[in-house]
Formats: sequence, C-alpha cells, structure tokens
Amino acid sequence: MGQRDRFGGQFDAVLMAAQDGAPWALERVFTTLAPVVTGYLRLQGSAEPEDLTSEVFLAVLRNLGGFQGDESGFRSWVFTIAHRRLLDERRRQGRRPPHEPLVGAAEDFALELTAPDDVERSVDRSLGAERVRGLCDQLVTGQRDVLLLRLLGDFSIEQVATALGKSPGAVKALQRRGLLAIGRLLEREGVPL
Amino acid sequence: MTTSGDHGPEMSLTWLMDDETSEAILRGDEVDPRLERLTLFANQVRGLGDAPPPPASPALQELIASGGGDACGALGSNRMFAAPGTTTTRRIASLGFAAKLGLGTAAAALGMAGAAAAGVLPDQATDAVRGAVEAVTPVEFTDPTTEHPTNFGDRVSSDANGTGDGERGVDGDSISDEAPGAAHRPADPGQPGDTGLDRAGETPGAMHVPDDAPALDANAQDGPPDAAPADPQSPPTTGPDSGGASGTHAPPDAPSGPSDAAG
Repeated sequence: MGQRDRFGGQFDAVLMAAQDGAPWALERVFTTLAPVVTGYLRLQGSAEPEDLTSEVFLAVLRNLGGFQGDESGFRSWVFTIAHRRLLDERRRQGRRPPHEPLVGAAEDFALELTAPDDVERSVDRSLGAERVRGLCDQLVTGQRDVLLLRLLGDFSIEQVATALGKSPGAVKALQRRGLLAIGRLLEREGVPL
Repeated sequence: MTTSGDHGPEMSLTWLMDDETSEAILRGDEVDPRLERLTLFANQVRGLGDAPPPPASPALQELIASGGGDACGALGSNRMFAAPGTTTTRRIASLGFAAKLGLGTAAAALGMAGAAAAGVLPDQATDAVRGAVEAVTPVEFTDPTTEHPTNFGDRVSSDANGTGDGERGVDGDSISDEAPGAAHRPADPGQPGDTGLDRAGETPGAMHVPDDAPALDANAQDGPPDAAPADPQSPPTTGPDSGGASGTHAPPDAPSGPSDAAG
C-alpha cells in the first residue's frame, strides 16, 4: 500500500525548522497530522479524541528534538505515541466507554467539524464517521488496531507488526479477518455506507 | 450434507479474500464487485484524515507559539535520545507538591550541612546550620572553638623534653592523662613480663576443667594423649556413645598403649 505524502514533499524542511523551534513548522506538524490522529483516536473509541490529540502533540512537539528519520518513520512515531495515550486513557477509565447514540453523537461531531464554507459536506462526513465508528466498535481489538493503523497511519505491514509486537504474518491474518468481519456486518445490516 | 454453496455470501467473501485482495481494498483499488463495500469502508476511514484539524488545547497553542519551549533541539526528552539524568528529572517532576517540598528541603539541608561541615560558610551561618541539623538528625558537629585547646603546645611533657629521665622521647611506661583516650584507659595496664598464666582459671573455659584431673608429671606428658584407663574392665568415661564432645577418642577395645607399661 502506497504511503501518502502529507507534507507535500517538504517533510525534511518542516522537521528541521520545527526542531529549531519555528512556530510555523510546529503548527504545520500539528495541522498535517492531527486530523488522522484524531480520526484514529475517535474510531478507537476515545472518550475525548480531540483533547487526547492535543496531549499527543504536546508529547510529540516536546520530544521533537530527538527524532531522526523520514516522514514514514515520523508518522509511525506519532501514532505510536497516540496509541499509548489511548491505552492510558482506557486504563484511567477502567473500561471502554459505551458507544454514544448515533444521532446525538453525529450532531456533536458535526458541530465540532463545522466549517463555515462547507456545512453540508461536514455533516455528511460526520454521519459517515459515526457509521464507520459503529462498525469498528464491533471488531476484535487486534483487527481494529491493524486496520486503523494501516488506513489512517499509513503504516506498512512491517510497521504495524513492530508497533503491536506481532509478526507480519499475524498482522496480515488480522487484517484479512478484520475486513471479512466488516464485510459480514455490512451484509447483515444491509446499510450502504 | 452441506456444500460450500450452503454458507451463502459469507463463505464467498472468505474465498475472495486473500492477502493481495485485502491490500487492494486498503489501497482503494478496484476489486471484485462483491467486495466493493469494503473498499467504500476503507475510503470512509481514510477520509477522516482529510477532516480539518481539531482545535489545539491552550497548552499546545502556548507550546507552538513559544517555539516548542526549551524541549526542542539536540537534547529532546525522547527516551531513546535522553540525556543522562533526564529520567530522574521526569520522576521528580511527576511527584506531588508535598513530596517535592520534602525532597527540596532535604536536598537543601544536605547541601547546607555539607557546606557547613566544609567550613565554607560564614561563622554565623555555620552555627545556624549546625543547630538546625543537630535538632533533626543524630549528626553532631565538632565545635571548632573546642576542637583544639587554646593552650595547645604551651607545655611539653617531661618525657618528651628529657627532663624526667635524662632521655628525650617517650619510653611507653606511662601515658599522659592529657593524651587522647585517657577516659577509657584501664587504671592498671599491667606490668611487663606478666604473662597471665597464673590466672588461667579465670578464663571462660575454666568451668570445663575436671575437678579430679591428675596432676601433671613429666612421664604422663610423654605418653600419648588418649591413653587407655588403668582398669581395662571399667567403661570409658568418654567415647562415641557417651555424647561427650571432649576427652579421649579411643574406641572401647582399643589396644593398650605404651602407658600401660608405665602404669
């Protein structure tokens, strides 16, 4: 699976400037990767995905000076921090929070994402996000971790294996079973995405 | 009997889904029409990454505006690249207020006590530190005003200057009462040539000496130490069955030794 270049080919320059403390570069790091991190945390069932995203980037920006690597490695590092923060949140709560009612949550999500120039598009996206979240909620944890790290984190099979401490073969099996589970759920519900 | 076709669409999905197909779904490539919903699902998930960024928390905004604070640069606190001592600093940072207060007070007290002991503080400061430390710890400071007597060196012993016996130097027969340790010195240190053998009965082992121990004589001392008793019919007073821990170790039927001839 090809990995997306979210920094428009300027990752090295942005990273160097961010490590030198340039506010514009630090903001660029946040605005580029925060959406995927928030999406990951939301689909993983985080109670406060946006607050948690800020926590993740506080850690990322504070530790930026020690990072060395390319964009793929940087994204992997950011998502590893995000995953740890997610586990910390779950430990604090003691259990995974109950899934919010679809309509209310969708309205809240829509308000959060509302852009003045494209309200209708934001609502459409939020409804899709809640439906996707409902599907992910029914996956086994390992299957959900693999699919979300691959789709939102742009992780390779090997990167997922490293992040989750599993073999590449196990990751492939989880990915395959996760997709099959989603397919069965979609067929049973008969609800188009 | 069932066939694969009896499992319906779920079984067909299983047959269609191999590693290559799952990769194609995640990439968003065209796949078998029966798997198109999965491609849509993958696109929906990926599309969440194109949403606007969430609002940054005030702390994050402040960090960005300040250029990442002093954490950026060559010595970031990333665990893999942490400078020595960083972990300790983070642990201290994670302590509660009361713990930090206590730790800070202890560190300050330790530092001040060290400085006072080294004598680098002014006299008044040293007195204050000494009083504070002695009040809360068993540490005792030596009073610098009494450590060395004011009359140090004013008077020289007669043994040292030779006025007592005409010979300079200390001969060891007597020790000045002003010498260190005088309070713990025995009143009668003993006399040269006194070996203490005449007081052997006062030793801790004296209680184990038999009352009717035969007197030592030159002939007996020449015989073996485990000589048999004079009467061969009498049981041994000590032996393996008697439980004695000391005495002769000869078995009951031990052959007579040369001492029989002597007796």
